[in-house]
Amino acid sequence: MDYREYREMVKAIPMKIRQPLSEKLIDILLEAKEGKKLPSSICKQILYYMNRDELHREPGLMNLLKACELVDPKEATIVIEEFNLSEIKLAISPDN
Amino acid sequence: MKTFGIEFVPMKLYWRTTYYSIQAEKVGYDNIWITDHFNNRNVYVSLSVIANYTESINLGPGVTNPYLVHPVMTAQSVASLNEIAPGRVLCGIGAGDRTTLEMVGKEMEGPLRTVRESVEIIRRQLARDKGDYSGRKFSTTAGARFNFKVEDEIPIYVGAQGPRMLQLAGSIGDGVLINASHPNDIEEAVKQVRKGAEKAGRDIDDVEVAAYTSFSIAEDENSARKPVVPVVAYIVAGSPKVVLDRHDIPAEKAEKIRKDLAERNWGEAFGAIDQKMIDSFTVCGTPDQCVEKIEKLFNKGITQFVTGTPVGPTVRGSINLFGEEVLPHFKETN
Repeated sequence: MDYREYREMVKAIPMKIRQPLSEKLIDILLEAKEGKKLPSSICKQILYYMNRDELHREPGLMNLLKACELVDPKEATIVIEEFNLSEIKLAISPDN
Repeated sequence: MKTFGIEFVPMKLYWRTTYYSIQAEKVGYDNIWITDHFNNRNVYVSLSVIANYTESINLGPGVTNPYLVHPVMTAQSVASLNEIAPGRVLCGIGAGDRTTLEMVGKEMEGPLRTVRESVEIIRRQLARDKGDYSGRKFSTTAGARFNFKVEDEIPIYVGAQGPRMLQLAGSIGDGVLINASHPNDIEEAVKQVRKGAEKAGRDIDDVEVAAYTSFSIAEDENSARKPVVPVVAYIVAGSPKVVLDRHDIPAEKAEKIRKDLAERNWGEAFGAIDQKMIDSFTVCGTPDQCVEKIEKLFNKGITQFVTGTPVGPTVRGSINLFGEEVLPHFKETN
């Protein structure tokens, strides 16, 4: 998926769940066994938005979702299910 | 003033260490210390990335050692880091540990003299001193002078555990990083730092006294204890007899743990760690328990409390917990 598709998905995420969703996604990235798969460019983006307290905003969430798709799509799918975000779940599921 | 530091060992991917460092700044820590061992990621690469993604937290090596890194290179590194993070750089230096040095064929010769001369050289380099330096361990000529000016003060902390190194820290350091977690050990260490300060005509108030602890925090006590068990095994294995005696740990028990670690019998080694050992060599527990233990250490004369890795069952969760439920007891936070 490219960033335009992520941007469209993230726009549809209700505001009130963006903060808790971003925290669950960052936990996946911090603990993922395949963390090395994350390109440095995305790591730096995540750090940039973390520094600005903006991981829960659209660009931050886009990067988190992209990162989770790369390192642990299975775990990300579980989290997204918890938040009832079916469109995102379908897009990043490891079965796709 | 009570200040708080956090130590990270750059074993993890660089961006994770950096993430936790940003988080530490946001919850209200004052200092970040990054360890310097050749089998982990480079300390100054780690610090440079952290410097780029943080705004105000102080940061530095905790600690580098002059057997593997010449003090002019340490001076160069911290001076260069100061350009990325002006006024925020600290420099922790100590003798290192014998086991690590032996891995690369280095002997820890004359640690007191070596650390003393290193501190002197680092200060001279940062000040762009024009003269030669002729020590017993190191020498420099005027040609070693920096080609650039260092605009800010860089405090030098001496890492110390034994009485003579603690006294040295008191006599020459801007700060001391005391490798201990128990109030009795800290009390004894502060006595030595004071002794060294007074011998040098200084006051202990001139020295920032940091307890560099092994730390773990969690909502329940058992979850807090689990992460520190391996660390305690290494501490017990490496502690001198005087420290073991102070904590009623039989030397044979410590030797068995040392042997099991050397032979990678992790189950045996970690299984030998009991609650008393954990209490002797770590600060760990629920937030309330940690507040109580940290208060005791401040009452014994420290001015900085450092939460050393592990930090807790999940680092992110534990940093948040520390920021929300411990720091507010001691200082104004964001």
